[in-house]
Amino acid sequence: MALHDADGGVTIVTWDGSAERHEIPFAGPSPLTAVVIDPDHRVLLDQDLTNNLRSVEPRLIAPRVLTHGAFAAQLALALVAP
Amino acid sequence: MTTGALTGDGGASPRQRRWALGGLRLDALLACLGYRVLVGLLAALPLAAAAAALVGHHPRGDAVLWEPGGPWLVEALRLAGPAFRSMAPYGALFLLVSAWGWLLPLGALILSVGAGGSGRAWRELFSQAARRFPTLTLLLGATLLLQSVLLALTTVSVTLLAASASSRSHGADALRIAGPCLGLLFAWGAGVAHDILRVPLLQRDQSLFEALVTSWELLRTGARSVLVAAGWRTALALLTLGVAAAAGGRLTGGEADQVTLVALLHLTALAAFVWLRGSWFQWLSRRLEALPRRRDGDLGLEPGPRSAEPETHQPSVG
Repeated sequence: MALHDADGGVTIVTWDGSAERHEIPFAGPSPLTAVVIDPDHRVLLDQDLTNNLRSVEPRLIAPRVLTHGAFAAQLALALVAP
Repeated sequence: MTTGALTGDGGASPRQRRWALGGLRLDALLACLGYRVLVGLLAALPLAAAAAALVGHHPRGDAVLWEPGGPWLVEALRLAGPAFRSMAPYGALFLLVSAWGWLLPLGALILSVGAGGSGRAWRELFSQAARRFPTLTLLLGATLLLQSVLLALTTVSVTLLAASASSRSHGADALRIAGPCLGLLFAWGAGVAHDILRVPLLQRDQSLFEALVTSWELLRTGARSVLVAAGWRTALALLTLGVAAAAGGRLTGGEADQVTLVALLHLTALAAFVWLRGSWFQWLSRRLEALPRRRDGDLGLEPGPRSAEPETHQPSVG
């Protein structure tokens, strides 16, 4: 598991996954902001990879998808109505 | 290119002067650019929200979708795929409605590059474009239909020809590639003819038939120069958009992730595309102005702006 703190630091801890719940004691200079389970994608036999992520402030809009999506829409519009 | 120059008609008062970019009115260009940016953002917003719902909890945000190997991209497509497929018809409808709405700012841009267009108020240009909106809609619909038929006919006929010749020969493979290319070329030609028709329709306020005659005259007197002028602008627009798409892809995700730079790059390419469209209509306007206006009675056409007098209709007696 990768524990991300507010200063950008990442702490790697191990969870064997034997139980459904696991408590990780954490003490650091700055508060935790996000946790990523299996950050290196070692276990891909997972029904839903997106529930491996949790953050304190999740993003509501994906800016890169917005930029590329808007440009793709422009290209489509340029074909239909140049 | 003249940047930040003031332009106006000879007798125009300072209040009528407008900022221009390379001879094109800046407000008309900005209206077109603004419309396209807005449409793009509206189209992409549901995608961006859906992507954020899937990977918004990741500390790197949606940059993980561009990771090498694409594990998060594959997962996002797998989870959101069914929803996207069900939304596809609405996306196509939105695209068509956007293409329809595009006729207004484009119409105003065409009017702004015509004779006296640089001194006219933006509202005036917009209202005149709105007045010809039904005819422009009819033209757009007919052109899209014609382009689809041309593309389908060329592709199908060439594919059938390749299948009847020999399915494995290099010639057959070349034919299969050449079919859609030829179809695209024909569709592009139909698009050029569509553009030529729109200029007299708006700038001379002609009827559809009158605009057809004027366009034919324009093509008859210089088809090669029309094709060259349209061709290099289309090639440059494709090159600009292609470079922006490729560079944007390289600058997203990984070490060199620069989302703001990518957005600026896309915006610049789009602005270049809009400017090239304006430049093409400006070129067509000049060619149109060089054409002699037909006198009253020739082909039964009236070249000047139509009279504002209401038409009188005889009541029919049944």
